Amino acid sequence: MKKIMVVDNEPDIVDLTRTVLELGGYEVVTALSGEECLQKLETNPVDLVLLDIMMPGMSGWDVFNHIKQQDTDVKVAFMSVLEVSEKRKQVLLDEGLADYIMKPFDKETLLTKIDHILK
Amino acid sequence: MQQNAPDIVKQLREEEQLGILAADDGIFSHLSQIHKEPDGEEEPTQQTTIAIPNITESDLKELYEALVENSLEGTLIIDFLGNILYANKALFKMFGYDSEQETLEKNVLKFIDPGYHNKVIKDQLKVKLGKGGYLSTYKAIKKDGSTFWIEGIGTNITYNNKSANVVYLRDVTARINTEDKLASTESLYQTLYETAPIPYQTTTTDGKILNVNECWCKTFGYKKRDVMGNNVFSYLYEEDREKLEKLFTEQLKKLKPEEYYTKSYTISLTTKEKTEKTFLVNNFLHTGKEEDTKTVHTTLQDISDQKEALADLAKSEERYRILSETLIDGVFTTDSLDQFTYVNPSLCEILGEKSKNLLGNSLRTYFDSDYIYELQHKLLDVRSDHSTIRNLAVKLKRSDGTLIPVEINMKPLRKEEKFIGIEGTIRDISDRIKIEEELKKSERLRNEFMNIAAHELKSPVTPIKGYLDLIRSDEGANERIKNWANIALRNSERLLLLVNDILDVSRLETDTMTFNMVRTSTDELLKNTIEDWTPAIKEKQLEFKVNIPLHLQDILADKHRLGQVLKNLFNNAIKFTDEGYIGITACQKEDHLQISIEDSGIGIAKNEAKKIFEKFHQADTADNRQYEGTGLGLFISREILRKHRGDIVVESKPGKGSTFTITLPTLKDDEQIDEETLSKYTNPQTETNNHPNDYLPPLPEKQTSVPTKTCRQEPESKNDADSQVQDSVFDTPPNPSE
Repeated sequence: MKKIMVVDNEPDIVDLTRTVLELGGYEVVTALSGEECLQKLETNPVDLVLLDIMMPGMSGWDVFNHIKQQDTDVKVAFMSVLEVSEKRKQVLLDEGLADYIMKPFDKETLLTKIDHILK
Repeated sequence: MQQNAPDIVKQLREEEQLGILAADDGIFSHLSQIHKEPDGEEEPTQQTTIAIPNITESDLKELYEALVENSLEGTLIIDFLGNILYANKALFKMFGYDSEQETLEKNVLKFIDPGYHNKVIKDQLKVKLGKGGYLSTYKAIKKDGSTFWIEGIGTNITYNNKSANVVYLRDVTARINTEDKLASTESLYQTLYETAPIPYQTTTTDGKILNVNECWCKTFGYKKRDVMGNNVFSYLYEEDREKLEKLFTEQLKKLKPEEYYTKSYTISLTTKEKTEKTFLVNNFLHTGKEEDTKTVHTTLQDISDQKEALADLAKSEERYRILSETLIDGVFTTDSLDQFTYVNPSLCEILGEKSKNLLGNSLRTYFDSDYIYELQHKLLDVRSDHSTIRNLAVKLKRSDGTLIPVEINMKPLRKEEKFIGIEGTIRDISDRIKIEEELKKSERLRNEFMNIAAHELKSPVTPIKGYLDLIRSDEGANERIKNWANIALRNSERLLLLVNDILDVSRLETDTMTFNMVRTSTDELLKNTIEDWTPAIKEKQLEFKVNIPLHLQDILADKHRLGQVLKNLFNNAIKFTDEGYIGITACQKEDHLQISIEDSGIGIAKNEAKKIFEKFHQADTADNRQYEGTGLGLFISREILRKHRGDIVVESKPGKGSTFTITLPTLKDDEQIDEETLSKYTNPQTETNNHPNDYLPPLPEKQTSVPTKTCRQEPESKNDADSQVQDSVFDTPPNPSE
């Protein structure tokens, strides 16, 4: 079973995301901050990190950069209310981002995308 | 000559010897004296020889002959019939003849101008009758026919009991000419003086009247004969005689030796009838040949009328000057070379330069480089087309280098159709600009807030929507619960739509919505639209009337945004139509096209039709239809269309239906789309709708703006992939995958 780390400073969103992902058959670990995420990742390797961007303290972007530097296979996807341009998205994808998912999302869309990433 | 000398000559000689002809000629008197000397007696005898030592009689004869012959004065002897008996060399030379022969025995009248014949005859008669001599001037005729003037002294001479007329003649042509000239000049002067249209007076330096002309008399009301010889100041300067006398004298004194004219000055004089008039006075001092004969010629020009006009002019000029000097706006005039000829204090302040430094400087010196082309262009319009420029908002460069925002008005100055300069005003609008910028800033802040708020809203909406969705799709939940969840979900989605709409509105109002303007095939756009909306229309069992020409010109558009507009219109049409049809028509006009979306729905009341494009306007229907919209759709649609340089209008009849018509400019087939074309459309600025906590660093290359991606739940539209975000306008070529 694939393992996914959900990171968001909003607990409700974390809970929702976990519920949906678990319904989709994934194992989920959570973190409420970028720092917590990195910390947990050290002892708890996952297949995918679902990152909120706008968090106090370490932003999703910082976490992404961090993870990139590490020599791991873990995939990273952003989850945000912020819209981005196609161009920007492409740049991110080129840099190794797995996907950019918009919030709010619906169950189907999220699971489809996650499945696609972790297939 | 000696042998042929007529008796008359001999007689002359003899008489000269005797001293009878008491000519002033020195020789003769001398000779007659000498003649007297030897005897000491005066014995007038006819045949007396002159006992002059060493001069014999024949010598004397010869001498006399020579004297007469060679005299410079023409000597002529004529008989009383006018025949010439003798003419000396001087004489016939005077008349242009070579020898005496040509004149002898001819009548003297032959050599006199016919107009003077009578005079000659009269003079001769006088002599003949023994009534004395004469001194006359005649016009004579030379051998070559030309005329000249002679003056003759004539007298009687007797010899051998014969009488004749001797005339001493002189050529006085030059003198006559001079006299003539003088006379005519004199007469001209007199005429001019008398007939001059302005008063002339001639006085001594003390003011004694030597002459006045007719105009003077008429102006002052005095008769010439009454004033001649009196002091002019007694007539003209009744009121303040002393002052005016002094002025007169002073002016004359001031004259340097080589000067003749005094400076002109104006004075008020009173006429005989006690009328006061104003005159412009000019004095001309004339010094005669003898140093102490000085006369003053004075002209007095009546400028009473002019004075009044000048006073009025001065008054109005003064008013204008005061106005101009105290005006807050800068006022200026330039010459035809755009150089300042007048600047008021305010303008000096605006440009930060003293007036003396501004004058003579070109207006163009103060054009800021950013506006130089525009200003030059406008200046040219003023000069060549004589157009007036109003409220041109530009920046000028002050002397210290700083820029000042101003509003300029310019008007050409013309003199007989020729451009001679500019007059204009310059208003400092720094305050206004500041206020405008403050407004813009506060608007941006407001929109910033809206942005933040909108984004913040999305966060809680996520779990709301998420859990409702889960409830709805949960197997364990009962129908009733699922139903409730459905309703709640629908509303959360509506909330989301509202949030996105608010974001769109905010972007449209701050000009931060980006548009990826590309050449778009209208044909394809419409084809897709029709495909997309057919299901929904059919679902409501409405007819879909399509009336589109085979081919329409391409447009320059952001496909995503246009899609948004069309979606809004179709949604509305379907929403408000229960039965009948939805129609789409299109037609091509010369440089634009029209797309109409028609429905047979409930229509819009006339007073509402104006307001439907306003923000948050919801149709006032009795039922619940309004709850399905955000009230922002039409506002956003219109704004998007306007940013496309198009527009939208509505026609509606309550109960019958509505027609929304979009207009969009079309592209010519070969029209190129370049930076210049694109710049006519809303320039996307750097994106400001990032969340303040957003730590996304700028893109490695160009700074992109972040356009919107709709998060709307579109009816499983296959456009999903397409409705992805668009790039900023300035990004390199759009995807060819249209």
